[in-house]
Amino acid sequence: MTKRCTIRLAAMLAGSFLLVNTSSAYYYFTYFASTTPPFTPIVARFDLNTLVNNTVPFFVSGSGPTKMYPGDSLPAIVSEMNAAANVWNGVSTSSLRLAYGGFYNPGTTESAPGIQIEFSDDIPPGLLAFTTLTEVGGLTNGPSGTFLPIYLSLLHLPTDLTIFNGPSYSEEFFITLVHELGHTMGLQHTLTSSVMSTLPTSASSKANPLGADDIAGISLLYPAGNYLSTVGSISGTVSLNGTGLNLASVVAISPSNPAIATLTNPDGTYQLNGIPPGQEYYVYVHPLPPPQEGESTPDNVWLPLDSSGTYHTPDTGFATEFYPGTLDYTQAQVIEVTAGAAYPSPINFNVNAAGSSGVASVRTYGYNTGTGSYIIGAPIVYGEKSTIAAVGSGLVETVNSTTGATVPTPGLNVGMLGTAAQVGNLRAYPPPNQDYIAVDVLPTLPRTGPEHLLFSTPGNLYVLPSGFSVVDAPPPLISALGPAASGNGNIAISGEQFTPSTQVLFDGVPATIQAQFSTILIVTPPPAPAGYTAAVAAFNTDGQSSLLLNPTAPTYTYTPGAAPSVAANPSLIVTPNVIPAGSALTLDVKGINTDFAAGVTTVGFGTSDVVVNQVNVISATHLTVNVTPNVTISSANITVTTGLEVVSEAVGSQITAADPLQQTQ
Amino acid sequence: MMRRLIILAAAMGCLISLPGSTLQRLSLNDMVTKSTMIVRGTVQPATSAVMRGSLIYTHYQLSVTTAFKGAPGASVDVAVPGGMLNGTRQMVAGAPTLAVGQDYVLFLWTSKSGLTQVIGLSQGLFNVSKNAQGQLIVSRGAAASPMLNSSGQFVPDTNLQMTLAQLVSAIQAVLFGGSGQ
Repeated sequence: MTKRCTIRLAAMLAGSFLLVNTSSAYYYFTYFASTTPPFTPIVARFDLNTLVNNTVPFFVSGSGPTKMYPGDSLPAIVSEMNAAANVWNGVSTSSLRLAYGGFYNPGTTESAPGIQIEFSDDIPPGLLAFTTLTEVGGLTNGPSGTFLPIYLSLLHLPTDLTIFNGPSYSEEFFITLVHELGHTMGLQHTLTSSVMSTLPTSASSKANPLGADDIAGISLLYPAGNYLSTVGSISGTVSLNGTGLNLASVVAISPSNPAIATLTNPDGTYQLNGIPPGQEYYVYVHPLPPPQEGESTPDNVWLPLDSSGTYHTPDTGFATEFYPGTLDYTQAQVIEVTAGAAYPSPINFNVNAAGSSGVASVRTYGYNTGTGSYIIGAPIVYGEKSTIAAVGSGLVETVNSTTGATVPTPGLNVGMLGTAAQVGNLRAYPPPNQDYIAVDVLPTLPRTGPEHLLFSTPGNLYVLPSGFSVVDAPPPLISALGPAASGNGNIAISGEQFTPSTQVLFDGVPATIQAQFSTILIVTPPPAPAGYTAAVAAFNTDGQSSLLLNPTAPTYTYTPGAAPSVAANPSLIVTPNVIPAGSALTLDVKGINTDFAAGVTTVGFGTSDVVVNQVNVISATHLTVNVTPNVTISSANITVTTGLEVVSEAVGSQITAADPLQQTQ
Repeated sequence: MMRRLIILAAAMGCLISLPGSTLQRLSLNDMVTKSTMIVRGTVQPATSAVMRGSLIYTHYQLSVTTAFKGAPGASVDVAVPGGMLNGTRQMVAGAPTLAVGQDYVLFLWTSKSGLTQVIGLSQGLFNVSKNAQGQLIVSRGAAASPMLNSSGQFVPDTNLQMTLAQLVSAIQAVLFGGSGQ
């Protein structure tokens, strides 16, 4: 950053010193309008006042990827993007919504806020995806305080999607999309095994992506209705020898629920909001992992910036501590919060310096003996002893430099928070399975959900929220699928562990369940063009999916002439084909080989400068769309999406959007 | 240490194909192979921010003292995503900040469009310093983002540290198939 830019930002922030913000961090992109306490976080987020229906449109580069897995397609990718957006849209306590707005032409400028998902050749090896938040215009004062409005979020994916470990329907690609979309809305990384975790500690799965921390984070950034009156909060200070610690992670955790965390301000103060009442919580503090040398963003957190242009680096090197001042959670104080209220007394920590780095960055996997598969989230069936593998720093020690043989780090003990399971038989594995340990776990309490692991070393402790999850049954499995005897385009899916709440996705689009048995599902697939091949996977509400044991999903190819197939090569005729800037107008869209459906079909124009007011489906091949163009559009697209049918045509021939980026240069 | 690096890349072979990462772990061999340039150099004071499409890149000028791979000339322009330009700030969590005057070994990659970046966001950035014995040491802290190995399996990154001579030897071994020393 140049000195001139630094000064400009500093001046901008200093000018708003007296403005108040009540937001806390979970963690967000954070500024401080001062250099000394009190530190009041000012965070980056979308300005709801500039959005229509609190909705941020996201657009996908029409240039698409250049390389995909065999069988993968741009419509399949778009369907997964929609599904990932719907994960966030499903948070009822958040008022922000995401909506697919069609394909955009690279280089499109916009004057209204939005999200662009682009496929880039400029992503270097070793990087799968990243997100950029753009702020412009300075501080804005809103009902919940001062904030920095996000103008444009850019989600960058590589043009070569085969660098992902699976096609677009894979767990990895989907979780990456959910994670990156979280960034586009203003969320940073956390350390609670949730989807926004930066460490390899995420317990997120495609069937159950969000953790409590994700929900609290987005809900506090964009609170809906009376959300704030339904949750409680705690606050306090984290200090070492009387000095407040910056970016210490304070976590509220109950034995059978996901954790919620925040990071401290530069003076060690913190406020942890969004805590659901009605549960007993332990509270602990731990340091961020050591910062990388040569960079100033440990934990890949964009560091908080103060009014002098100084980035505040984290204070690490202290030992984890439960409140009040113990490594032993059984000696810790349990607290309960009240809805809409702050905990009556401060939860302060006076931590000790760490004698060693201890354990960090642990991720666990369950082991399925039947298939020999390791499963993320470590689902363990109640009443069955199972093995959990743990990968992370500080877990093993090499005892033979020639063979690479390892043992568990001397003094390491693995246990759990609470008594819901027996944990034991700690061992390490030699090469080639180096650098991981395993323990046996036997759930003994008849409850399901996340359980938290404790990795203790002399003088230190590492807590892994959601270290494993107790479930009632193994993951669902699809063994075969084909046309159902009942006809009507229905598909019979045979397999195991289907439940009344099982959801079946064809790529990223849900099928309609017509009948359900434990080993058979009858479904109506979503519409798709004839010849389209979709990957089919089943998802249970316990977080498990058929992809866990079989990452290569079975496929279904839509047969020409058989419902719900629609004819191939759909296209559109749009009248008028020019969208002038100004007042609202209605476009008439005739489809050829389309399957428009009310409530299913969406229309977008690839730019936030055309607001879609209403879509009226008249027939499978005819709809009208009422739009308000804020600017005259040059070379935009109209994209009509119905299930897995994505039709895009060029439309419009004017307008140049006022580009805030260019205006400020 | 070299053996450790190689093992780290190959290890965890039994561990899963699983979700959720933005970084893909690169072994030292991967970094040597996939980089278009490997240089040692010092970051110069002048930085600049340039808009490419809708993305701001912060550009650092690196005064090259040694080129281990490629022929960069006396200086290299290294771009890092994110930065501030004329009142517009773009934030990229995890993007490295290069310290002016710092001595680095960088594994660089130039895209088709001519943009030169550190590979793997920060994986290709090694700090050069002297240890207590006066040896030149290269080191990289553990990356904090989730990492996958080439099989898509999650693996932890660890603090990498070795002598500069060892690193050079390893680079040459990959490039030329010998010990390099």
